Amino acid sequence: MHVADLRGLTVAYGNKVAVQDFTCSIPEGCIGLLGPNGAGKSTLIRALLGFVDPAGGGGTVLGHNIATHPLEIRMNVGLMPEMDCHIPGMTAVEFTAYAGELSGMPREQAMRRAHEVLEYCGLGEARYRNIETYSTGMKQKAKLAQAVVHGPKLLFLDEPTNGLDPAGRDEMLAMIKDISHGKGVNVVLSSHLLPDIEKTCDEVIVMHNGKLRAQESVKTIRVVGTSLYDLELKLPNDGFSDAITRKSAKVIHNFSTRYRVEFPADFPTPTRAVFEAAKEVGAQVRVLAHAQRSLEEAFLEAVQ
Amino acid sequence: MSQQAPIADLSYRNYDGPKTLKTARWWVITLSGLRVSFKKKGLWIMFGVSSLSYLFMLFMMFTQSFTQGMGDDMLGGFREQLVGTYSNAFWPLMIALLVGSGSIAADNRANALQVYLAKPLSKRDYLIGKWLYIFMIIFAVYFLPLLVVVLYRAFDAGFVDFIRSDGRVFAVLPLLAGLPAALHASVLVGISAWNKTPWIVGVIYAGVYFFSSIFALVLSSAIDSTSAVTDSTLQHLSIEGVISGVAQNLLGAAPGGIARALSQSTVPAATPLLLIAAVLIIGGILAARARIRAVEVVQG
Amino acid sequence: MIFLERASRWYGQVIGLNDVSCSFGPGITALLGQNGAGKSTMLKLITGQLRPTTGSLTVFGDAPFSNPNVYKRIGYCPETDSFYEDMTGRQFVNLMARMAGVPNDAVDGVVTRTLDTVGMLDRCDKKIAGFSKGMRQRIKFAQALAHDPDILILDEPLNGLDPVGRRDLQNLLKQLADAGKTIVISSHILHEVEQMTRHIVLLHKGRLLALGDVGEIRSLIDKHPHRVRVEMEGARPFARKLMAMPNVLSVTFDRHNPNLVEIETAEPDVFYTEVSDLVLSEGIEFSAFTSPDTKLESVFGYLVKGGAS
Repeated sequence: MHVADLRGLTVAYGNKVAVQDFTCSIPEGCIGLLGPNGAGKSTLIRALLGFVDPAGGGGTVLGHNIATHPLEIRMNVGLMPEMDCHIPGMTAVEFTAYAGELSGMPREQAMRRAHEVLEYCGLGEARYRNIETYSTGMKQKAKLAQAVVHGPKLLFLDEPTNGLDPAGRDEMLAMIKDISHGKGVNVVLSSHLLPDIEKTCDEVIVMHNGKLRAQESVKTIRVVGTSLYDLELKLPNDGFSDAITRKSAKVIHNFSTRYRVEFPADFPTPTRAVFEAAKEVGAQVRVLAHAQRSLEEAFLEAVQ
Repeated sequence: MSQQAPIADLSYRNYDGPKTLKTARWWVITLSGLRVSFKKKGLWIMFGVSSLSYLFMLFMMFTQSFTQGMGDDMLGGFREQLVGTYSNAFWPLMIALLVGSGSIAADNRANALQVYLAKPLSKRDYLIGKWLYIFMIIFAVYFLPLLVVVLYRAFDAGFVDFIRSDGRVFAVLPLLAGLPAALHASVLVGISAWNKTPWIVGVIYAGVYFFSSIFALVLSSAIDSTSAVTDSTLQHLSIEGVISGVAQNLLGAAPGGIARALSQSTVPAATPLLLIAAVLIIGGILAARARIRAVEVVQG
Repeated sequence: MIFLERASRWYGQVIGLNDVSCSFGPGITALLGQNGAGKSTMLKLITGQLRPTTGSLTVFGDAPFSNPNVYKRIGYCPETDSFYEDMTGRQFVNLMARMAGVPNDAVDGVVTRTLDTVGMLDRCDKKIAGFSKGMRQRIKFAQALAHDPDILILDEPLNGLDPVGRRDLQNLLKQLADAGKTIVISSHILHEVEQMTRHIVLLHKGRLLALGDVGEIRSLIDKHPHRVRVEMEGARPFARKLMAMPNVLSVTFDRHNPNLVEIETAEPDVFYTEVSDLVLSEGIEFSAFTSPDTKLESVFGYLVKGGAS
């Protein structure tokens, strides 16, 4: 079952085509939406929320046609916008409950559910305070709360970790991962921070110039040749490159303590070779694993 | 309780309770606007102050009933008195500014539209919701004291007599409250939609309001002094004047008492005033409509 | 270049920076810390927008507070947007360059060159009001760079840029650092910091918590328990051998993957050496030998959590 199906969707503003002949099925789970600025990601999300009249093609979200049933779509999806946003003059509880009511929940249910999601988002006692007094991290949490209060089947998150410090970011990513796995919520996550996507998403959709450039699972994207290894030493060591080369490996690149090396195909004992080389030059191996392409590398390859 | 597992799962769960797409989706927004407004102490204080003139009118009617007919000449008949009291539009305006200035401007500042429009709402729903709560408050501010005064008079004068002499008052009461409410609500949402700062909206509307009054006064005195016509229409070519002027037409009476002493003795022509009112109401709503765009929900 | 000597700054009763001594030299230094750790206060002190309440701070030997001579040698890219929205990108950079002391006859050339460097030359003649976040960030960066300052102070410089823009700007910063500029970057995005520099200054609750090379700092935290993950055929027999080591605190098997084992050790240095010996003597082949604790992210986490308790 797909949460959204787009068939040849084309969206244009005046003469400018923002999304062109876009065909794609968004599967269940947590999906990363990637693309450089101006690639058409925002337009795509707008279209999926039923805000635009397609110039060509069309599609469905949760079974509702994007051109004819925007309200039904928006009743069952949630959006966490990128910019700071809240409804003025309200505490987080009032705000979240109001968001639920606007989505069609009865008032009592909205109030009960508001408390539940704010507690989940970690706002605790702060939920009785006016949102205007919140820090960036808390505002981000309140934004997430208002997006899930009505139990959406599909959730759009636009740069959800923007402005968060490392602890806040980890917290937010953990919530996104939790919500999007096994809880009946599917997530489309748009972010410029590719490690965020790596940590949370199962699959990515890459857009470029309004077109679909790639749709792949995060696991397969990361696979590179099996004879490539990434390794890391404890401290920088000048002799290691030579030592590992003598063990018939090739250094692909090296920054500080990190190396990527390639062994000949079917080389029987790469682990032994690396540890031996390290021992010869008095280095200590801290990491050794099959090389994985970072999402960043994959992304830059896809759009350039 | 029968299906309760020994240990409950308290992690995230999705909501799957009732949820309906109502026809009157704007009603939620109106209710919220009312709720937020009712929390403002200023609203209640100003409502009290605004009703004082009606209280004074009640007091005068009360004393009049002891001194049969003695003050009638000075105060004029009931409808003259009513129109005079009604024309004190200052406090209702202040209430409108208090509850209405921020209606959309505060939302603009907080990017609240991104929250609203991501929900199953059209911009029409949003606009109606915002407009209606301002309308309802101003309507009540006018309607409640008017109703009290009129009912008092009706009981005091005897119901049958009252219906015979001033019966039309009952019929036009909703219009008397509705016109200023619609005017204030429309112009305020119009200005508010184009601003990000509530107090600036208040200053702009108050400025336009009082400037138009001064303008009408200057205009009428300039033309009055050059012509022999003593028509009061010119004096009413302002927002305040429109409210009072239409009311005079509805009640069929010019203000009595002190106002009469200031030479406002004739009822102004209705057509130009209604035209101004219509332009302001429609213009305000269209201005707001033009500013609110759903597409801005997703940036970039 | 930049020296802080027991510098403190407080606002009324709120303390922003508490008794910090450190220095910044050529190359890239990352200024890390949670929200409210005092990073912005420190940047404002360095750029002369604030004066230290106690202690001293010098930039090229002068106190920077309202000192135009220092201002000319500093380029500052603030985190928040503060533009004249009605200006075009070029006009804005031009104005800022002239204010920073670029002579009038040279300014046009300088501005064009800088805009080219940040990749905005083709779009800089539109009004800033219509710019996207990434474009604004590039203009802010250009404005900091235009007068060719010796010191660059950058507050979240990559914020709002897409991955391509991030990569471009990172490379540019590396070039500038190689050219001998002193660059201070405040950032929350630790993996990007890791790609640019190994030199960090970590603030926590207004105080200096750690300073220096990430590797050195990491080896100091080696005193704390350290986790290592091993994935291999026959993980259990291997784990049995590890359990014999006195420095191993715990061995945990994965519930779903029988080949995965996580070890916690009290003395990483000893542990890694012993593993190395074991590998060489027994001829063991790993599928993966990693530690979640080697990343800057976990170093940061350890330090901040330790500092908080």
